[in-house]
Amino acid sequence: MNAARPASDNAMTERARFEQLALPHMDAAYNLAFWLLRHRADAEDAVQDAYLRAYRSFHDFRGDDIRPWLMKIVRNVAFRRLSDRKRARNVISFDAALFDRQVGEAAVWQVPDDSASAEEVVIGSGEQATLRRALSELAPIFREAIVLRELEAMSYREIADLTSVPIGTVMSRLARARAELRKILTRIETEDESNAM
Amino acid sequence: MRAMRCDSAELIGAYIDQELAPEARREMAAHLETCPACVALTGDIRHISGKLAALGRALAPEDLEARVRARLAIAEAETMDRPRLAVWGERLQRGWIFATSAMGHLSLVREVAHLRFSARFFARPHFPARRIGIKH
Repeated sequence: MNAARPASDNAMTERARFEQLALPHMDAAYNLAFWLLRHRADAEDAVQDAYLRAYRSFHDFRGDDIRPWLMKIVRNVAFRRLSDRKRARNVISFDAALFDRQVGEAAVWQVPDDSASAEEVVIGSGEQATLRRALSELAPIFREAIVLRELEAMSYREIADLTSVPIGTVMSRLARARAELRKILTRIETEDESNAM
Repeated sequence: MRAMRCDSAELIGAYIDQELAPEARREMAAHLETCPACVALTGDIRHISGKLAALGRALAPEDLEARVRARLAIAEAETMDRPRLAVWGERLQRGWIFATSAMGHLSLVREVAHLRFSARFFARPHFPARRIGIKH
């Protein structure tokens, strides 16, 4: 008797059900991961990790709409990668400080920088490229608020649930993010005009 | 109800995003008819929101879905093997619990028997130099 057979049948059904519910949201998952990490390869890895975690926790999922639950996992994975990245950069910088005083040079180039990565984010030219560049310069929590609201069309309630903050905080973050974006865009436009002269 | 302030960027943002309750929405609409600064801010926010919405999502590579499916298939295969391992693991665990439990009972029986013997023949219980117990 193969005790595993009934379990394997259940596992097949479970995966098919999970894929049916979760895969349609992959574009949204990738978009969020990309804008948090600003690095294509990292975003792809984060999405794969998130889907794997979601599949392994699928027995915990209740309800019909998997998107909020899935996006929360994507968000957690992406933020964990962000903090790992910062930690790695600090370790490399520290080692460089101990053994090679030229901190900030080749020692840290292997870790994707937290600042805007032009080749990863800015695609094309013109207004959209400028906007992407400005968006990438926002701090992660403000960038996240803008992406979820403007690119994913989430409600304030949905954003609050996803980011585990009150709605008032969502409003505050959006207001600050929009104000910052306007400043950054003005600065970029001024720089471009200066460069053009 | 909080009085409408000219610097309520949060409220203006919520108004544009259609997130205000009906009464607050009416108040904001009325305020915008009289406040040029707020009208200008509303225009700025609408402008940038429109541009951002037109930006669209960052596009995932075409093979990402296939890669995700492949990883899920591997995870599923691991789940199929796990029940067999879980059964053997459980049997081992039950065996260990039984063995330690039996030794515990045996030790207790021997201790009680010895105490009763000691109480009968000695003023104080006489414990053997070597105690039999469960070794961890």
